[in-house]
Amino acid sequence: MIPAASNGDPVQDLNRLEEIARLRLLEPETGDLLQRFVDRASEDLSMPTSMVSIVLDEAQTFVAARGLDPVMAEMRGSPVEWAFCAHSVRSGREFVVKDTETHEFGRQSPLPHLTGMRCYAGAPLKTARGHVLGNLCVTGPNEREFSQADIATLKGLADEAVAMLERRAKI
Amino acid sequence: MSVLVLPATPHRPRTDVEAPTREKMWSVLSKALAIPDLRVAWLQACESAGVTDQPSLSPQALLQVMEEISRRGGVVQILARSQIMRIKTYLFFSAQQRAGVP
Repeated sequence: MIPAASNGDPVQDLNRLEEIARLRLLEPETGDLLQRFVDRASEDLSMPTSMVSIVLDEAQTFVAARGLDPVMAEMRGSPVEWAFCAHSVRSGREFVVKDTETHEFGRQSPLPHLTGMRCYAGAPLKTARGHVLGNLCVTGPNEREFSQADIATLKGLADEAVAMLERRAKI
Repeated sequence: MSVLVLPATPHRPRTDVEAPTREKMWSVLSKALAIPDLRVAWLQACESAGVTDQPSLSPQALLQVMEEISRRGGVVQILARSQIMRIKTYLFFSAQQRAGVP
């Protein structure tokens, strides 16, 4: 069950934002801790680009990444309304786009044009309290059908990353 | 509200990028801070950033102020970082538009 914000949008939920603060996700060392998960996501799914995107109230920010294009390497995030990862915050589930050129949201978001991304798969970083912090995701320059095994791999890595963050917060 | 409009291209929809304003920053930060606390935090951040507070702060000045505010912990840091990302997006596209990049 996804906790609701006062306006009904989990992205804006202050309790979720407090969880992001409690887990110290914006601290510089968090990126170093999460880097191995994005590396494994890229390697296991044979994808050039991978990220841990933390979805804030009005923007997403990449706290760990691999293979970013020059624009995203400079920006390290985007407005939330462009963010594929925000879909998982709202649904609590993985979000997959086989081809951004034919997908409704893929055609609305400027990110595919800016980055050259053509496919996307993201698994939610869901805490024990039920908040989705953002996604562990992979993107690539060609359309791709992601298998159930691909999604299971991403989900496993996302769960492992959250468990590590939760353990760190208790220390 | 001022908006930077990027016209549609064959591969990109029309994109509107909201211009940052002092009012917007105050509105966002007030979700986590009472107005008297916000006033104090804002003036302290302006001083640290070397910015004189005024209603028409430039996007660059707002970025500096929000970076100072983001040094605080808790939800305020999250809200400030979110606006920093949006201001950087605005500055990026403003520069691209000035350079004539479609």
